[in-house]
Amino acid sequence: MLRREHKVSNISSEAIFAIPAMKPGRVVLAIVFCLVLILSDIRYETSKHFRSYSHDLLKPLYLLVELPFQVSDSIVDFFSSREELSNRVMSLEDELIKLKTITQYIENMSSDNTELNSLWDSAKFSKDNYLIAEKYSLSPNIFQPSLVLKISTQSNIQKNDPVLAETGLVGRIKGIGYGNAEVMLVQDVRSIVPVVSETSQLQGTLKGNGLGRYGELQYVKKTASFKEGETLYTSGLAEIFPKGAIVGRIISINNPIDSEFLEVKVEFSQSPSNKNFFLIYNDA
Amino acid sequence: MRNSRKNKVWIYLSLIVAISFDLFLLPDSVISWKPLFTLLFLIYWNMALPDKVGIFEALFFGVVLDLSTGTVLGLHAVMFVLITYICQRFFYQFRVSPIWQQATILFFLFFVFKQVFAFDLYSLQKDSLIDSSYMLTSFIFALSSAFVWPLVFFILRGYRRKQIRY
Repeated sequence: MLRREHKVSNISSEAIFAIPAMKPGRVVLAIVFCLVLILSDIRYETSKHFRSYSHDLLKPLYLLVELPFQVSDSIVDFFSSREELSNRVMSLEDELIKLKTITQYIENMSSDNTELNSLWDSAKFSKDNYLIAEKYSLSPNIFQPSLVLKISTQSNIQKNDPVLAETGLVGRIKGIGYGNAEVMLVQDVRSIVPVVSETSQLQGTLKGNGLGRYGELQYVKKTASFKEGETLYTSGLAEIFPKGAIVGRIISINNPIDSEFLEVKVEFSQSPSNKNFFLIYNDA
Repeated sequence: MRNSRKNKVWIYLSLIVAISFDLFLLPDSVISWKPLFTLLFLIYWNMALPDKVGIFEALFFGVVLDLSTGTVLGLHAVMFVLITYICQRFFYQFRVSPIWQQATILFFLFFVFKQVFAFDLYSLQKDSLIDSSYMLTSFIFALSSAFVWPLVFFILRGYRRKQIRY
């Protein structure tokens, strides 16, 4: 223990352990600095330019955490017997034959119904525009959750590209780093998605309320005829999200006396916490 | 390398491990209530070696957590600085109290900490998003952090005794 770090007893020459507390001036300065950061981020979004690149810096940590799991997986793979593998190949071949039969059946059906098929094609998006991306991390922030996806450095992903899962819309690209993309989820309190209801065909804007919480349709007039259980799709009005992607389902409609609008709660169709792969839609 | 510099490296290494715990280790299904290891580790080091960990560490790791979790830049940092200050201000009382008392104090500290993140700073009305479900989540978060504290305490104490040289 250094003499200058602690007071030392002159009698026993042992440390008394009297450490001066932090200087309040420094604390105040640090707090002021933090407040400046907060205000500049809220007002001018200063962090958006380098936030995605910070994930690149954290990539070694991610790899370090993943390493034990990868090693254990490769050990298990190494010791699995040849017979086990051949059995697995056989079962996969069986499955492939089944899938081929099903695909052939579907192809026959679609060729029989060309009109329906063309309608389907016009409603859905081209497969070439999709890019599959693996989850890198999901932040433990309920109200502003950010999903980070691994992307290839050659991919031409752009900001505001929609991100989808098989059950519906996930969010949109907020920032792009060197090998990752940050996604603003539809559950984010800053997220607003223009939607249209399935049966009543009414338009609205859906605001996120945080991860694991219901979203809310904003500014819905009391005369609007939304129904509970209705599915909501993207309306494509803001030209950010493609038209027709499932967003969620109306859970409850309340009519508060003290408000001029209805309170419409929406359950989002998907949660990114239990998925590992996502689709990025790029229309460029 | 001098001992004090080596000590800093060991402390920083433990805080980096804590950040990787927070970001990657636990499954996403427990995301809303998993304990914040970075803060727990920071509290431990403030309590154990208040002369080696201070405002700079709180600021730095707070900003790193802000950037990596998508929070408003500076929010974690300001909370870390405040908690660090409280820990250093009262560390004489804190370090001599029994472990269950320390855990109880941390329970309240973490409960308050979680509430700060419920303010919708982006909305014009500056609404609070605190409701009964969020209170429950905060309660479980604070409880899980308090339960994890003895484990963190004993592991880090062992680590400190082994690695930190005076």
